Amino acid sequence: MQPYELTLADAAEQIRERRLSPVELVDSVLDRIDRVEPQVGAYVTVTAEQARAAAREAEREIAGGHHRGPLHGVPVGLKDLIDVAGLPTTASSRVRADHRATADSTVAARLRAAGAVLVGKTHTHEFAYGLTTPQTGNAWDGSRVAGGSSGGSAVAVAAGAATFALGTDTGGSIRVPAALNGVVGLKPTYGLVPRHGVTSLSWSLDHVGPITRTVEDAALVLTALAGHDPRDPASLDSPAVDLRPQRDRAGAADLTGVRVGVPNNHYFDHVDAEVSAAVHRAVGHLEELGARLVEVDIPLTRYLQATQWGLMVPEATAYHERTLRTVPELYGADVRILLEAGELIGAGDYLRAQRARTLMREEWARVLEEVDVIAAPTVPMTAARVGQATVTWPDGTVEGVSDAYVRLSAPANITGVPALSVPVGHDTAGLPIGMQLLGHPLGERTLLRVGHAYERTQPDRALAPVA
Amino acid sequence: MSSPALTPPEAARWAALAGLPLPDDRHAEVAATADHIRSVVAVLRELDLGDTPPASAYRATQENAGRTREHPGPRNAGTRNANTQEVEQNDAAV
Repeated sequence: MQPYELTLADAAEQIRERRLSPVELVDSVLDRIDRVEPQVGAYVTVTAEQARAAAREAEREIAGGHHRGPLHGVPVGLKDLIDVAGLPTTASSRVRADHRATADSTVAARLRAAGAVLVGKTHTHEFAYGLTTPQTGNAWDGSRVAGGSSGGSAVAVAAGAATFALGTDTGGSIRVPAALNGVVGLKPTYGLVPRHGVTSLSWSLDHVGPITRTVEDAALVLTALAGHDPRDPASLDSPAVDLRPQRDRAGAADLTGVRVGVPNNHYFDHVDAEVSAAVHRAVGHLEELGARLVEVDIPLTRYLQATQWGLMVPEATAYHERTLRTVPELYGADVRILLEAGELIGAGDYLRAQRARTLMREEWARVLEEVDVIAAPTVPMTAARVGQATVTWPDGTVEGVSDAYVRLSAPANITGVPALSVPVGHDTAGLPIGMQLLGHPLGERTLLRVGHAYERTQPDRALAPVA
Repeated sequence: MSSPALTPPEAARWAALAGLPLPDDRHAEVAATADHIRSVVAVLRELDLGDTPPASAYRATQENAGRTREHPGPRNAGTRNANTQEVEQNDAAV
């Protein structure tokens, strides 16, 4: 096994035991980037020189007895909405051609303090306002979309071009590309991970979180990222906790007593049969591990899309107010039209969406009294073909591809509950399928425990077959 | 719940009122896109929201340590969580 193939947890263990040097690991990942990047286009910028220098520094520190923890010396890719001091934050947009961040975002600073090594900035759908990330190809099939908006981060992790990555998620932008590329994506509880220094799409709905190869890896990263920062007004003042699951202890896969909600409505409607079957099989595994399955009814589903759009569209337009007036021609056509149309959405519509959000939080809290997690598909179908605009469901309903990808992930953005996408197999075309686990607010520990237990029932996943 | 469709000249006028002059060749496309968005969000008018307040992140008591703060507050905000102090450290690898 080459170092670039290691999970974060395995790489961390080998580095801690000095069986692997950060320099070897970073060189291996940089070589892998060189090999796969022409095919997948995951990166905006590769910071090879700085990464090698940082790896040497990490090696020196560790050799000197100062091991910072599991991220020390481990290569990370950051979605290019996340500020890193001295680097441009392009948002994959010509609008940001001359940008340069003057300071680290909170998450970049926390990764820096933990000793992680930045190998590059990854592509996003322009300003995170889309679900495909057209610059990047799916790691499993280049004729398919990467998903978005954190497409570059998910593809980099799936292809071995980063040991882990960060993404952002406003309507599913961590979980959608994670599901479509066969990796793990975690949207934490709203406010758990500070967004200071991260370009916003919609303040009400934005989250930052990890994209990794395993649930255990996601827990390692989240532990380093979580914690209050007053510079993000939504940041929760909750105590820092160690979210790492029990790695090797017997019983780590025992889910006795855990109540897993299985939705009667919404989450399995207009879902591809292979996706539905794979998720139900995975839920069956959870039951075999001791979990009790509980049927749940998802409330207010008719108002999900309206609430999501009512919040996101005006907020995105507000964020871009100045540049939409000064350099509108620099936006991509799909993003520009949404920003312009957002000028015509009134304050009444926006406030109605904010009030509907309050209702949804209350109704979801009632559902979550009955269960510990809810299990559902992450997205209703595997990766669409590049250029495919719509999907036609067996009952004749035609749905936009982006609308379909957001449909099952947006509820967690509106309600703020944590949501984890875990790979649960492939369809007959060989494309990855994701299961979504949704938890209680600040219920990441349970979410990660359930996801980790499921993973322990499965063979180790291979990297995507690219290069 | 449907509301009258925006005509392209109306879309242009509304955008202009919002301070966004639209080139002539964008009026029709913006009108159509805005109509679609408005038709989606109009569904919320069905809800009886009663006394339900908007979800909001605003808290008068929360210190804003960001760059817009005019009067620096007490330094205790940075001690509430060890991670907050890590933000100030730029001595490692990322």
